Amino acid sequence: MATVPWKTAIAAGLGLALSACGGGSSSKSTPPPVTPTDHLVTISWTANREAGVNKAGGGYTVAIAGMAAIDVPYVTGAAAPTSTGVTLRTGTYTATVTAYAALDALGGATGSRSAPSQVLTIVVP
Amino acid sequence: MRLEAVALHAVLLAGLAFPAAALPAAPGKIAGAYVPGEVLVQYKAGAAARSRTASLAAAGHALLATLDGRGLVRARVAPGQTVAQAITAYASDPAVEWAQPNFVYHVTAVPDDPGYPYLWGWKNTGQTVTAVATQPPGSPVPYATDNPGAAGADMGLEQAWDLITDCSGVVVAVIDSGVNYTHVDLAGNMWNGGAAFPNHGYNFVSGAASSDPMDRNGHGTHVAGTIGAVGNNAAGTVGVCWKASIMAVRVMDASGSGTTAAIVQGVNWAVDHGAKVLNMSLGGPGLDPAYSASITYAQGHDVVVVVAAGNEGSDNDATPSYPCNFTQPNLVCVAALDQAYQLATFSNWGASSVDVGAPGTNVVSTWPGDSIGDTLDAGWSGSTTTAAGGWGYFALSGGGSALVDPGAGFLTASYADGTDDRAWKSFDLSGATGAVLRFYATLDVASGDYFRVAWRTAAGDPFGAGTVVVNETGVNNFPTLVAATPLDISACAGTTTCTIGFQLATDASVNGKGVGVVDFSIGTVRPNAASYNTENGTSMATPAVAGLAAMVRAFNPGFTFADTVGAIKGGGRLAAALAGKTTTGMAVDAMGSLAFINPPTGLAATVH
Repeated sequence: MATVPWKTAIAAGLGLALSACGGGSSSKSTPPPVTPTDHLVTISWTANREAGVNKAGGGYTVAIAGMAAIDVPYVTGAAAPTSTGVTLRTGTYTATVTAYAALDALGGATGSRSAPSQVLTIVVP
Repeated sequence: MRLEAVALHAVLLAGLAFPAAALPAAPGKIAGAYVPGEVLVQYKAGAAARSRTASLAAAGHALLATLDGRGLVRARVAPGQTVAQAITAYASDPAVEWAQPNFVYHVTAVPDDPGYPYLWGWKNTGQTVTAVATQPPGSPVPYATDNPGAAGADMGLEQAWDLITDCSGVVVAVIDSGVNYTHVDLAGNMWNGGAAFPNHGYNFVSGAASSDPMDRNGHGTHVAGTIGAVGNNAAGTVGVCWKASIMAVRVMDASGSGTTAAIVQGVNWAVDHGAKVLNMSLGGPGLDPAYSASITYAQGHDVVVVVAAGNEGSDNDATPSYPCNFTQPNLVCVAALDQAYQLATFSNWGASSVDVGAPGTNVVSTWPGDSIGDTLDAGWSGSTTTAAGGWGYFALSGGGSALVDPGAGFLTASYADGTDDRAWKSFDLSGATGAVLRFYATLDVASGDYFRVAWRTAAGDPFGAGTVVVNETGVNNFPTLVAATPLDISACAGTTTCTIGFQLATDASVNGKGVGVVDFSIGTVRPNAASYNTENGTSMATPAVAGLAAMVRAFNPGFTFADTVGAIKGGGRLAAALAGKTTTGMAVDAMGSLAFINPPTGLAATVH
């Protein structure tokens, strides 16, 4: 088997990658226009273990940049829901989730809220 | 429980009837506690029942109850709707007179324990902390700085106690000098070890391993009371938790010393037997891999480990102290705050090694038994073999007396050559099951001369017929007073004639200045003790946080160690004295930790 210099092999690989992205310089054709489409996107997270999040007055808020926040409150059962569905059009979005409960740090019921989760990037084709 | 009608009532009463038209816009905040998801709606007198039904249906609400015959109903709000939003919606309903939250009224939980007013760390009213009635002689109190301190500089426990006082579902191991598990304020809150461990723990002290972790020092019993002295029992003090499950794990002896082997065994045993919080008010300068491995073992079993920063008044980042400087995520290292929430003068700190601060000065808590003191100015028998020798009493310039040799010319003269001077006295230790001898001494004893301490269970000279527990030669700290290592004389307990003796035996060569003994006391261990003591130290701050860890885990039964540590660190209140000196800059706060919510994790998206 013939050996291939590493430089050559890497260059070939890069060329292949660029072609796959439609960025090859040899083609003069215009890529077909992308038609924005709506997709149902399910956003989920791991359940918080604070008792207050998982009872009446508790729940989560999903924040997607550029959109109205989505409230996911506790409704019934042992825990608040840990997912929500949202329709998103083709594009890239960032989302975070915060958890909340009715109890506040002074012993009242004005509520507490967590810091936001790590940012999730969502790519909708 | 002493029921106190609190100022909160007045606040709530003032806001009891909101006219619908005057309600704040959603999602406004409502002051005071109320039932989540419920509203009370008052319909106008002329509103027929049919109108009320239509009104509720239009709002998406469900009728839960009709409260009277005059149009007041209780309703459940629509899913996803806040109470404030629901109330606002009724503002435009012509059938509604007013709507309001279903407020929750309660008493503030204040325990009836008579020692509660001493506990500034639980509720700081600006009180001055004085020595408690059963204080052992010579106890280093009060801590004079910031006594009194600042009202409100406390852990805010009264509000937390409105929500939870029972932490007994979470086993807290006190890895320490043991616990007097018969103490009246602890017996009801000890871990149930079943038939295998009837004394609520285990004793790993080298050479004395047994199933009896009785405290011979006092340190562990004090720590245990801060975590969980029985609350609201009209006796003594109250712990962070009124009800608790305290596991006594003895790894330090009567002198307050322990070995790596004992500590590692104790930690592993506690973890294996169900402890979910470990209190470790102990430390040292050496990096100890075996010790670190035991903390990691606890982490692997979802156990929170709360440790003391140390009492050298130094920076742990520069001079490490272990276990504080271990880096496992289940570890919380605690500095001591005084009554004004200033860093206590003795407390270590560390911007990257110490996590939080907690009350650690003038801490009143449980003690294994009473202490028998002596004024050292009368009642001592003596003998000497030389005319110039012999012990005597010496009046101290600041008041009080010392037992000294030479008995004549102390401070100015040296002791006699070739003498054997002895002094002894008997003490009644009947009823005690353990005893520790404590005193301070200044010594200048030349090499070849000997200072000895001995005890025996009968009256009379204890040298020869008794047990020698100190035998020092060639030592000079004169005239500084140094605390002698506490001496375990438990074999002397239970007698009416426990006799303690001091001896200075000299040869004919070089002489020193002699010996002075002050602050003499015998600390006892007694069944069903009702004794208390005031102590200072990061050792005393640590159990406040361990108790809080138990409270947080009991309040949130699903919590992991990471959740608990997050709530303790994240739920604290900023304390200026801790800024740049701890990882959080926070003093622990009970209500803040109960209300703290960890950020959600594990986000994922599925595009359909």
